[in-house]
Amino acid sequence: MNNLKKKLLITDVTLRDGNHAISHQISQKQIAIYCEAANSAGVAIVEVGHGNGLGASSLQVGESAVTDKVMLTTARKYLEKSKLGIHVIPGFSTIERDLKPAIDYGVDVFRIASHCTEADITERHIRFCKTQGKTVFGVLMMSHMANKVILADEARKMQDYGAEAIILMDSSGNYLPKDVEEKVSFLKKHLRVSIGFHAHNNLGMGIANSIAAIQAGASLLDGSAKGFGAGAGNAQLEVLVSVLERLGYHTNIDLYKMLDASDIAESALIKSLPVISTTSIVSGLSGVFSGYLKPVKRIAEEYNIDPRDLFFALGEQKVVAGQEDIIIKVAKKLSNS
Amino acid sequence: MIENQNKFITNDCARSFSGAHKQLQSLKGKTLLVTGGSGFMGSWICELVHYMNHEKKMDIKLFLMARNQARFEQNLPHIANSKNIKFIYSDVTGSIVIPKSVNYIVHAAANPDSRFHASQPFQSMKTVALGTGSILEAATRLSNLENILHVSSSAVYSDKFESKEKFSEDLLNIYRDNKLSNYFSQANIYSETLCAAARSELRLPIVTMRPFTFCGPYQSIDSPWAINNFINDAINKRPIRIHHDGEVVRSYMYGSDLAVWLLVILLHAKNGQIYNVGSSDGYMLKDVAKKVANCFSEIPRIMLNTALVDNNNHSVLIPDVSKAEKELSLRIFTDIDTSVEKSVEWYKKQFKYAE
Amino acid sequence: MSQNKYQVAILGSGNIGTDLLIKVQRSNELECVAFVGRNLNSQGMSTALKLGVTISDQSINYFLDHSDCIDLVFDATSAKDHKIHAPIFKRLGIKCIDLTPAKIGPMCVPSVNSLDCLKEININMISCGGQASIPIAAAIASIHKDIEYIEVVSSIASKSAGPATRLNLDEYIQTTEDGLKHFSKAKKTKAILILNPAIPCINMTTTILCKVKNPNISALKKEVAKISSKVQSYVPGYELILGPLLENERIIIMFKVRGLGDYLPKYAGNLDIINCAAIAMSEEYAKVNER
Repeated sequence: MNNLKKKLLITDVTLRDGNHAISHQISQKQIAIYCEAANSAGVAIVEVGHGNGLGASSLQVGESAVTDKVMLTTARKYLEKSKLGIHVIPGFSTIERDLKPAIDYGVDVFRIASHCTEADITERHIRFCKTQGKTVFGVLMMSHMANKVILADEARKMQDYGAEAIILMDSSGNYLPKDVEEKVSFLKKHLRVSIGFHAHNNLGMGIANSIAAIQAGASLLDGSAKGFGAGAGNAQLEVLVSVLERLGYHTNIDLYKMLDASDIAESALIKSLPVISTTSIVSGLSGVFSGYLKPVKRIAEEYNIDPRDLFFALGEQKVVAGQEDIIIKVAKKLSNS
Repeated sequence: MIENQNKFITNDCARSFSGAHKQLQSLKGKTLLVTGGSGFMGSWICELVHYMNHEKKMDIKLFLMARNQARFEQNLPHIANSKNIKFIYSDVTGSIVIPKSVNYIVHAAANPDSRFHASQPFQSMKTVALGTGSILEAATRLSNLENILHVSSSAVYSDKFESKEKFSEDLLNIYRDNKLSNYFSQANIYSETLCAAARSELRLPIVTMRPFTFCGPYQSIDSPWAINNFINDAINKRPIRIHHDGEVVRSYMYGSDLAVWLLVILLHAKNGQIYNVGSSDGYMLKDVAKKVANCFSEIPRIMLNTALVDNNNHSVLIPDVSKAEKELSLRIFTDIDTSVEKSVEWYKKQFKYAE
Repeated sequence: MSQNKYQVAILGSGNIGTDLLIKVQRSNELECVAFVGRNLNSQGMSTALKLGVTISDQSINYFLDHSDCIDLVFDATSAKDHKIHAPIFKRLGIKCIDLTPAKIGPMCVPSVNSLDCLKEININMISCGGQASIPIAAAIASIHKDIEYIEVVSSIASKSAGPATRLNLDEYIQTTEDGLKHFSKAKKTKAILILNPAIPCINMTTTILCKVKNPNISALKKEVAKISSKVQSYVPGYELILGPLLENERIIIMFKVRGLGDYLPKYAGNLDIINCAAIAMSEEYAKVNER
C-alpha cells in the first residue's frame, strides 16, 4: 500500500479540548465563529463541548458557560462539509439524559471514551449509537497508564461493541515517539478497525508523536488550532496539517484556510496561547491528566504549596480523569506535612 | 394452520423439512434435550419440532434447558403450552439432572452473544468449560442416549477474518497470533477438545458443528450481523449504511434450514465428525443490502463507504460445506431472496412497521 | 430454628448475597433460614453450606413452599428478576429489602428515614453512592431550606465494579440522582461515577458538592458530625475526610468508606455500605417484630 497516497481523518478538538484551557467557558458566539472557519478549511470532524464531554458540566470538573444543547445546536448550524462530533464519557453522561438529545441536535460522530483500562463501561453507549445509525469511535483515555497488551485487549472490547475506530489519547502528554510507535503498531496488528491518536504537548512531542502514530499505521489524528487544549495543549493542528502535507498524506484540509482558522481562533477564542509551562512539564512527567492544570494551580495557591509537588503527589496516587476532588485532599495533606 | 404458530414460520419449517424429510424420520418418537434453549438456535429447533409433531405426527419430546424461561415463554407462547415441549430451568454450570428418557442432546449453551464475551470473557469461558463438562458428565448416566451434538463456532478458524478462501473443517488454527488471546475463539477450541476427550474416556457419542452466519426470526435486531444492521436502518426509515465499499462477502443461512441441518447432523453424523453449518453461497454485502431495500415499498437509499475511516479488508467468512453436502445429503432449502424477505417481514411485525 | 430471632432469607448467591450472609450470622437480631440461588456450584453456596445454613437452587420457587418460616428476604438478584419476585413476596406476606436497581418500593436510607420504612413491605436501598451521600444531603437540607444544586461524585476501585455495575452505570446515575432529589429537595441533582484502576485499590470516596444561597458552614459542620456518627453505627468504615468547607463558591464534603471485609475485599466499601444499610434496616424490622 503506497503510503504517500494514504488518506487521514483529522478531528479538530479546539472547541472541546480547548474548553479545558478556559475552564469550559467557550461561548456560543465563539463556537459559531470557529465552526465557520473550520468548515471552510475542510476539517473532517469538528468536536464541540465541555472539556470532559457530553453531560460533564458539573461542580466536580467545572460548569460550562453554555449548555450542551446550545453548544451543539450552534455548531450544527455552521458545519456543513465538516461533521459534528462529541466526546462522551459514561459515568458522566447517560443515554437517556444526554445521548438521545445529542442525536436530536444532529451530532454525526460519537466518540465514546473511558479510562484506558475500563472499556467495558462504554458497551451500552456504543451499542446505542450504533443502533441509531451513527458513526461511533471508541476512545481510550490516559493510555500511558496501560501497556500495549492491556490496551489492545481493551480496544478490542470497543471494537466488538461496534466502534469503527479506536483513538488512543495521551491525555497527560507523557509519551515519547517510541512509546507511540510501539502501542499503535501493536493495536494495528491485533484489531480490525482503524487506530487514531490524540496528542498533548507537555513534553514538546505533540507533532512528533502524531507523526510516529501515522507511521505506525494510525489513520486518524486529533489536533487543535494553535494547540488550544488542556495543559500544554494538543498537537497544533495547522502545523500538523503542514507537516502531513509535506510527508505526502492527504487530509482534504485546505492549508491556507486552516492557517486562517487558527488565526481566527487566536483572536476570537484564545485568551492565552498554550505554552509548555513548568507545571505542564511536571504534569506530563508525572502522567497526570492535563485537564487538572487549572484546578491544581488554583488549589496549590489556596493551600500555599508548590503546584509541582502537588502534581507529583497526584501522579503517585495514579489519579484518572475526573477526580478533581482528590486534588483538594492531596493538597491538604501536603500543606499539613 | 398449526395452533398459534406464525403461518409463515410453518411454511418455513415445511419447506426446510421437505428437503430432508427422510432423514428426519429417525427422530420420530424420540426425546431431545437442547441446552441454551432460549436463543435463536433453540427457538428454531422448537418451531421445527412443533411443526413435525403437529403436521407429521412425529411425537417428538423436547426438553429445553436454559436460564431464561420468561424470554422463552414470551417469544414462543404457542410452544410454551405444548404438551410435548417442556422448559427445564437450569444453569449448566451447576449440577444438572437430565431426564432419563433423553435420546439426543444438542449442547448450544456455550455460545452467547460475542459482546457478552467481549465484556465478560472470564464468565463466558467458565460457562463454556464448566457447562460443557457438566452436560457431558450428566450424559454418561443416560441409558438411552444415542448421540450428542456439540455446537461450536466458526470462531475456531480465525480470530481475525483474514481469510480469502472458504473455511473447510481441516483448516484449523491457521490464523492465530499468540500474543493476544482471543477468548471466544479459544473457549470454543477448548470445548471441542473437551468433547473429544469425553468421547475417548467416557465413550460418549459426540459430533460437532461449527455454525457460521444466519438470518431470520428470533435474532435480535442489534446483533452484530450486517444483515440485521441493514434491516434496522430500513425499518427506522434511514438510508442503509454500509461502512465499507460493500464488497465484503458473507453468506446467510435461514433459521429453519439451520434447524434441519442441525437435526440431520445429530441423527446421522458418524461419531467424532465435525461439520460446518451455513451457506456456502457468498454474496457481497452491497447486494444483500439491495435485497433488503427491495422489501420496502419506499425503497431506502444504500450508502457505501459511510465509515469515515477506511476499514476495507474484503474479508470472506464463508464455510465450505461440501462435507455436510456429500456425507449427509444436505443442501440449502431456503434461498437468499426468501431468507431476506422472511427476515424483513418478521422484523416489520416485531417493530410494528407501517409502510 | 430459634424462635426469638427474626427469620431472614437471602435470594441471590453471588458476592453480595454471600457478604450479607456473613453479616446476618453476626447479628444478634437476625437468623438466616435459607440461602437461595440458581446454582449449587457457586462459591456462595459452598460458603453457606459450611456455615450450616440451608441452601437451595430453586430460586424464587423455594419461597412458595417455605413462606411460613420466613419473615424477610434480601433480594440481591437483578432488577429484571426482582420485578418478578416482588409481587410473589407480597402475596406470601414476606417483607423484602431490594438491593437491585428495580426500585419498586420506597427508597430507604436507615440514618434518615428508617422509621418511615418500618411500615413498608418492600423497600429499596437505592445505590452505594446514594447510601454514602444522602445522609449528608439530608444534613445540608436540614439547615439550608433552598438548595439549588447537589452533586455527588463517587470514585470506586475498578476491581470492586463488576459487570453488573458497569452495564448499569446509567441506572446507577439516575437512581442516585432521584434519591438525592427526594431526600434533599434540591432543585437539581447530578451523580457521577468514576472507576479508578490504581493498585493498591482505593477505598470508595464520595464527594458531595453543593450550591446554596447563604451557606452556613459552622451549623453544617455540627449536622454533618451528627449524621455521620449515626451512619457509622452501622457502617463502621464511614469516615469524613474533608470539610464541610467552602471552595470556589461550592460546599465540599468528602467521605471515605472502607468495607468491613466480611466476604468482599475491604476496598469494596461501595458494596459494603449498601449491605450494611440493608442489615441495619432489617434489624429495625426485627426490633419492631419483637415488641
